[in-house]
Amino acid sequence: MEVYMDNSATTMPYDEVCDTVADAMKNFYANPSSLHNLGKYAEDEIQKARKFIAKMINASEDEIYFTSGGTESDNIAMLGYALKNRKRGNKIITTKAEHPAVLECCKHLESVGFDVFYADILPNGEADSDAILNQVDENTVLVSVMHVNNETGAIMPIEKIASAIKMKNPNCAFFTDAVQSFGKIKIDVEKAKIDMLSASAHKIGGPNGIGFIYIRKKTRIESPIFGGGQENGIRSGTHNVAGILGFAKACEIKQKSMQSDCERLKEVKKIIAECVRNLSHTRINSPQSGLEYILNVSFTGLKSEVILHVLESNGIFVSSGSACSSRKTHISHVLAAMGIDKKSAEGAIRFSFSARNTAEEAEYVAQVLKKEIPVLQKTVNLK
Amino acid sequence: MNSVIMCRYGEIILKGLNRPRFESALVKNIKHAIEDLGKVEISRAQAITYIEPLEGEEQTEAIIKRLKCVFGIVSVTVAKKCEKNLDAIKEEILKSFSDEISNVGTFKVNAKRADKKFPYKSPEICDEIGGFVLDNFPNIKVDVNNPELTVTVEIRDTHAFVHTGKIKCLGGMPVGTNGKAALLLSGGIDSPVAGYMIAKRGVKLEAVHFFSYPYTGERAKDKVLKLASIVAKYNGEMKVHIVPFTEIQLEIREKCPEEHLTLVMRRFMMQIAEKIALKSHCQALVTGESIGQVASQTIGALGVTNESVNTVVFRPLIGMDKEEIVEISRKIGAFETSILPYEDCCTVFTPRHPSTKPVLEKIKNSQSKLDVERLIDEAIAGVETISVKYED
Repeated sequence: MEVYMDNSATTMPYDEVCDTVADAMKNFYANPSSLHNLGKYAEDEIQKARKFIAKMINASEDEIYFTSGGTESDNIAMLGYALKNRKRGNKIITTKAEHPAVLECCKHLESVGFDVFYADILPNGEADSDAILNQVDENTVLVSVMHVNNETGAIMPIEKIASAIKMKNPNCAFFTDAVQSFGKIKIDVEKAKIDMLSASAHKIGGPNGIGFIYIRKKTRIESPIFGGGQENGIRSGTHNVAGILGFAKACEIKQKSMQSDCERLKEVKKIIAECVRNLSHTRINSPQSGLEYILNVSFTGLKSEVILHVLESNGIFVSSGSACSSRKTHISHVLAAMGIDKKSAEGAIRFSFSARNTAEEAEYVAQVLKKEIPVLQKTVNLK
Repeated sequence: MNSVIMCRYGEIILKGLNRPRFESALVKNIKHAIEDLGKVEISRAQAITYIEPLEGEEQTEAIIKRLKCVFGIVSVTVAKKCEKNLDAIKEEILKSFSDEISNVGTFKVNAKRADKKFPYKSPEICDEIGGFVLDNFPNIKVDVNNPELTVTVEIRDTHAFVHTGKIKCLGGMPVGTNGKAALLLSGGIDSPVAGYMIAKRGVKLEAVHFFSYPYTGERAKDKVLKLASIVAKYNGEMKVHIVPFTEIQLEIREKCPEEHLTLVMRRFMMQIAEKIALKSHCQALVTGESIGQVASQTIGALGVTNESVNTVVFRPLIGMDKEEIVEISRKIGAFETSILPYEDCCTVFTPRHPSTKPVLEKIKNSQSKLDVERLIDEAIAGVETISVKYED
C-alpha cells in the first residue's frame, strides 16, 4: 500500500489538472504579451483564471497577480511593501512561526535598517494576537502573520488581528501567507481586512511553479522583480500559461469540495491522532482546533528521520519535523517557539493530508505505527 | 592532424623483466579510461605510450583530462609529430607553435636524440632550430637559464616530435598490477582518500559499505555511491558491496555495555569485510583510520579492531593529520561530496563515553554474547552489490 501524507510539501496534482496543463501547452503556447491573436487567446484564458481565483477570496480580478509560487509572493509582499513605505516608518511585526520565505525577508529587512518584532507563539501553536497588537504603533508599516502554520496546522486569528491593527494604525498594512490555507478554508479578504495575501497551486492539487499574490487596490508597493512589466509590473517574466490554467482548474475542484474534504479529513486526522495518543512517550503538537489537513506529532526520544524511513519502508510518506546531520539535530523553529522540549522536537513527524487520503489509509498508518514505534522505542533510552 | 599524446611512466621502467607486464597493464587501463572518447591509435616505443587522437582538438583535451587520473603515468605531453629532418621540424614549428612563440619574450630549444643514428647531435639541433626561431620571430631572445618557453625537439625511432612542455600526472602504479583489496567505505572524508592512496600503488579495489536503514536513508546511500564513483575515477569501474547492518547494531545495543558499542561494531565490520574480501579474491582490507582521530582509533582501539581479522589491513592515513587528509580529499574531488549533510541518525548507536583504553578480552567477551556467526552470515546473505563507474 502506498500512502502519501506529505501534502503540505506538495500534493499529487488532480488528473483534470494534468489534462488542463497538457492541453494548455498544446493550444495556448503563444506568449500572452504578444500582439497577435494567438497571444490574445492565451491572455483571454489567463483572464478567466484570474477572475475565478479572485472570486474565491472575494477580491477583484485586478488585485490578483500570478507569481511562481509562495516564496516569490512572500518576497514581493514583504520586500516590495516595506521598502516602498520606508518613509512612513521602519517597524515590522511578524511571528516566530512564519515560513522561512517570510522570516528570511525579515532578516534581510533588518540588515537594511528595519526594526522587526518577532511575536511569540502560544503553547498551542497559535499566534499571540495580544503580543502582536501591543507592538503596533504609528511607526509600524507592516504586520505579517501566516494564516495556517505549515508545520502544525495551527490557524492564526488573522481576522481579529487585522481589524484590530487597523483600529490602532489605519496606515499599517496586513499581509498573510495563506499558502497552507488557500483552497482549504474560506478566505474573504474584504471581511478579514487583508491587504496582501500569498498562495500557491501545488498545495491544493495544482501544478508546481505557479502561485499568486493578492494586493489590495491602492496599496503602495514596488516589486523587487524588474523586467518586461507583466502582471502590472508586480511580477515581470513571461506568463506560465499552462501553470495558471492548471491552478484555476485545481481551484475549481477545491472550491466545490472544500467543505466535504474538511469533513472527511477530520476523520483521517482523528484516527492517526488517537493511535499516537495511545502510544507511550508521544505528544500531539497540532492544536485541537487546527486545520484538518495537518497533524504534527512527537515520538519523544526517537529521531524524526528514523521514523520517517521506517514509515517509508511501509509505503507511508511523511515529513520529518527535524533534520539529522551527523551529530547535530536541527529542530524546528516552530516547535521551539511553542516551547516544546528538545527531545520531543527531535522526534516530530508531520502527517499532511489531501482530498485523496481516506480513513482506510489512516487505519493502515495507525496499524503501522502501533507495530513499528514500540520496536524503535526499544532501541533507545526513553528516560 | 598530427597531434600525439606522449605518456611517460616512472617507476615501471625500473621493473626489469616484469616491465612488459606493467606496461601492458597500463596500456589496458589507458584504453579503458578513454574508450568512450572516440577513435585513437595507441602504440608503444622506448618507454613511452603514444596516443594519437583521430578526432581533433576537443578529443585531445578530453583524453588528457582522463589520463590525469590514470595511475602509472608520470606526465603527458601533447606533441606534433613530423618527419625526421630539420626542414620538416622547422616547418612544423612555424605551423603549430607560432602563436605560442609570439606570446613570449624569451625561449630556449631543448633537443633529445633518442635515435643516435640521426645525423645531427643534440647541441647541433638546438643551434639550428634556435637560430631558425630567432630569424622568424624578431622580438624574441634566447635565455637558456630561465626561458618563458622551452621548445623541445625529440628525435625518436620513427618520427620527430616537437612540443612545449609536460603536464604532470599522478604517477603511481597501474591499477591491477598489485592485486586486489577491499575498501571499507563510509560516507566520510577519510575512506575515499585511503582508497585513492592504495589504488595509486596499483591495487584494484572493491568497496564495502555498511548500511543502517532506517537509521540512514537512501540519500545517504546515494552519497556513498557517489564517493565510490570518485574512487572509481582513479581505480576504474568498482564494485560496491552494501551490507545491511541495522540488525547487528540493534543486537549490539541491546546486549553489550554501552562503552563497548563502537568497538564491537568495528569488529563486526572488519569480520564481514574480510568474508566479502575472501569471496571476491581480495588479499587485503583498506580502512581510513588515523591514530587518535576518534575514540575508536586510539592505539588500543585499533589493536582490538585489528585482532578480529587475519587478513592484512592497510591503513594508509594512519600517520596523517585531518588537514592533510582533507587536502587530498579536495585534490581528488571527493571533499564536496564527503561533507554533504545526508549523514545519519546513527547517533543512536554512538555511546556517550566510548572506551578509549579498551581491554581486548572484555570487548571479545561482549561480542561473544551475540550469535556472531549467524549475524554475520545473515548480513552477508543480504549484501547488495552495485557496480559503480565515474561519469564526468
